[in-house]
Amino acid sequence: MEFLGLDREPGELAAIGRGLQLEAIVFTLIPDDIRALVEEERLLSDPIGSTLVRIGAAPFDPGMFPATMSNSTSLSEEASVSSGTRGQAGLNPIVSTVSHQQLPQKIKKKRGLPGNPDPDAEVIALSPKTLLATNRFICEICNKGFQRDQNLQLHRRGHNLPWKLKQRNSKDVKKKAYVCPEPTCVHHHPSRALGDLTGIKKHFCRKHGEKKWKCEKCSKIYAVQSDWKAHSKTCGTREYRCDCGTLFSRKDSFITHRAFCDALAEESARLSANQLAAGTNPDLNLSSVFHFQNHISLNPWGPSQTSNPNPNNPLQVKPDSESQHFGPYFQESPPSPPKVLITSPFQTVHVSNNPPSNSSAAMSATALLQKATTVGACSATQINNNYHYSTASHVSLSPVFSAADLATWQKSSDRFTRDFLGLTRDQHQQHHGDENGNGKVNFSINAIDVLTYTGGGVELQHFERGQPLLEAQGFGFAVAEAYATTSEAWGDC
Amino acid sequence: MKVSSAKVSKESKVHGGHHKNSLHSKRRSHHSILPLQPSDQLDQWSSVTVDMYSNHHQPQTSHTSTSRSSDYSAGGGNNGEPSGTGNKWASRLLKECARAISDKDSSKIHHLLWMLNELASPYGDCDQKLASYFLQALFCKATESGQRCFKTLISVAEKSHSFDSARKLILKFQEVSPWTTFGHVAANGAILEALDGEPKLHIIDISNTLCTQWPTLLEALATRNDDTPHLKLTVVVTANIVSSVMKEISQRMEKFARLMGVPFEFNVISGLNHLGELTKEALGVLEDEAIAVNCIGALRRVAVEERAAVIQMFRSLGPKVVTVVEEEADFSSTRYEFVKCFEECLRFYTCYFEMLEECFTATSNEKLMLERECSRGIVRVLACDDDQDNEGECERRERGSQWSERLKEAFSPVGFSDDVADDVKALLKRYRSGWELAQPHQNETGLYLTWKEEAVVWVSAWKP
Repeated sequence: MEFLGLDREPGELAAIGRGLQLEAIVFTLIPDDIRALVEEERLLSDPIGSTLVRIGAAPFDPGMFPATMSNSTSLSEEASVSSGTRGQAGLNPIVSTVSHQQLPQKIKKKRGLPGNPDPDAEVIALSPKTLLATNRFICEICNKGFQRDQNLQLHRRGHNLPWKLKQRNSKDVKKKAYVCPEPTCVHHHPSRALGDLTGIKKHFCRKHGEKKWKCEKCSKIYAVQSDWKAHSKTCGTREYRCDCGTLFSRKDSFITHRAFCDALAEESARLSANQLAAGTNPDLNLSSVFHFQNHISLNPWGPSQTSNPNPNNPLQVKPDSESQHFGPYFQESPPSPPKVLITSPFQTVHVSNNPPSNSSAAMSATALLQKATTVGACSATQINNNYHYSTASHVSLSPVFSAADLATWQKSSDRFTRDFLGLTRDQHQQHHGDENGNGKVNFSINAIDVLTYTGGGVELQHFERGQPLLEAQGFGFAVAEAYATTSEAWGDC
Repeated sequence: MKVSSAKVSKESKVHGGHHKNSLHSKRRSHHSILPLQPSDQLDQWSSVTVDMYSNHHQPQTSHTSTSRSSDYSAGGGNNGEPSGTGNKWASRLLKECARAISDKDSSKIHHLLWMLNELASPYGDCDQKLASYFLQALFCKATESGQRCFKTLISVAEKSHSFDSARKLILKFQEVSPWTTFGHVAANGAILEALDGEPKLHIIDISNTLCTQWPTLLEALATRNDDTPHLKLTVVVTANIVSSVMKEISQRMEKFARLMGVPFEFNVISGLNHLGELTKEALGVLEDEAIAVNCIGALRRVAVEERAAVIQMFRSLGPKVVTVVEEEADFSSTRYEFVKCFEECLRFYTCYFEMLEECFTATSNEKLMLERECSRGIVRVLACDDDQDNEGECERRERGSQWSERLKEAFSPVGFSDDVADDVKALLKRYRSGWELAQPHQNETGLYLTWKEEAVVWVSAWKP
């Protein structure tokens, strides 16, 4: 057991170990306020150690107060008062319970709210300068600075100077409580004073001090060096796990992912369900909402579209006007829920039991259609008459316009008349009106159309068959050739 | 040169065949003696090109053509060497073609387009991809079909678009490259600092970022202080492609804000053709709100003539801070000089494609989609006339210094604090090497993101 950074004479230790009264403190020529400061510092710098000395309990173990790992930018002063495993004398100093004549019982002091001091405690208001001061005790020989007089005294031994360790006179000891000098602070008022000198110093630094310590990895800044050190140890080592199971090492990508993750919808629904249950949300009368058993069938698009409604998570469809779009594709939820739902945040619950690529109930019909075409690319062209494209975002085509495919170039001439513009043949003809009787289109206009690049050819183009080859004059090369392969691939749909 | 002369005859046959309505022969199988390396083909064919031109068309320029051929072969290395020596063939061919178009040299145009078509592929290496997409634009320019092609590309893209695909794309891109997150982090930092202490915030987000900028801002608002301000977010969507997914986005954002414990309101304005049409009322700006205007890649979509008016419109909203993020390229001052504009376009997109190539895996679907997005922009810039109804798809980028000139008319620059710069540096550290933060030169404002020491993205903050 040792006081912070301070060794004890063997005799003292023995005396302490026996729980005997501490010897009187002898003061040297020290100004009064500093005397008080030092006195208390000595006691309270290791309050557990000093108090437990008397009650014969185990020494204070700093490791039991882990550094807070929250993402808040500043450790509040409460962090120095952790939820009580062992007591610290900050709030209800055991000092008062100890008399030098008896071994008091073990009192585990619990930390409550910080800044609720013992009513009998003496209130001390220290100046900001005092609170921020470090190394105020200077050795006259070598000008080395020390935070405590005790340390300085021991140092003076090395210079063969006279030294004396002050010891606390337990009779004089009173509880002290410290107020924050910052007038706007909640701890400025004596009723919310903090009982721990270190605590008040750290509090002042954190809340009202300049943040001088910066984490390199994430550039979070801290006013108190120990906070910064604690953070640096854990920064970057922490991994963030989203509800969907993905692991992130970077906080920012985690946050961005989280905001758009399908799992978010589920959780917030549960969250709000709990809130509702707890009656914390009086504005919304949504208790009926979560009894919905709308198992909206998403199966028009076939088995690939399964987002099987989990009976525990009712699927909700937006009951308001937007859901009209879903007309032919969804069974609408039976009665329209109360109007309040429209403004409620819980309108759509996205249930994703499958990997996020599956659809959500809230997805628009257009999107669902496109999803469908992903899977049944060829068959889906009939679904919506307005679509001239079967689009596929993930279909892999013959990626290279290989030489072999050029052979097919000559084959079916109908492959050539792809309608690059996305218009049907009819519309095309309407536009240009150059149609000849045999179906051959005036090349001078349509060559351009045919030869228009539409980029890569991965997008499926719904082309008509049975159209004659458009003769490619003018520009003398058939860009369409490049699409022969892709049309070939898709022609077999 | 015997070989090449033999090829001349073959080539002329084939080339002549173009003019005769006959089908292409299987060019490659005829030239089976050639290894199928584009660079080698290039060398052969380019020397052929040169010969043909010198023979048929421009005898007086035979000197230059031989020098050109020597350029080609010198640049391309020796014949028969593997493709490593074929660097930058695309850039040369493309520039040649652009010049030919500008000169209206139609046989040269034909030939170069033909060659490019042979060598180009959207699935190949960087050169092949660039060749492919720029070829498309050049072709449209030559045939004056740019507007139609552009519309086709847009409609194709819209049809394959969905919330999931968009989300996956943008999040993946942000994961592998700080191209977009750079602007987000810097802008968020500037916004947070400018609006610090305000109880009611209103951010007007003019971008197509699908709100990926805002979760981190929401988190910062929630954790920074004890008192979390109320945030109203109004998103102005400029691209048609994005508006369809905004509904889903709005739900997610609202949920997320609830999770964060930030009082939140979300609005979307879409289908806007002209940014200048926005008004305070349309945006729902209230008197007691602290306004921030956030423009990510939005100013370049405004028609060049309207940009000043749009900036004045921002001013009229009375914002506390305006953040602007734009890509560093100049397609606007050269818009009447095709070749110069082309070269700048090529430079920028070469950088971008190379960046994509390095950041993504080789078979990444997201990379492909991003490249395709570029193809639209390329066609738009090079092959479409600006006076046509552009519907907010202008894509004429300007450099940071040029934007600064414009913005200085209505605003004064705000520097980024050291904290924000540190945040950005910490961000860049999380990506692979090659990315740096660059401070601007004198008399310039903002921050630059550099990729391999070339400035690519510019971010700046302004106050009235």
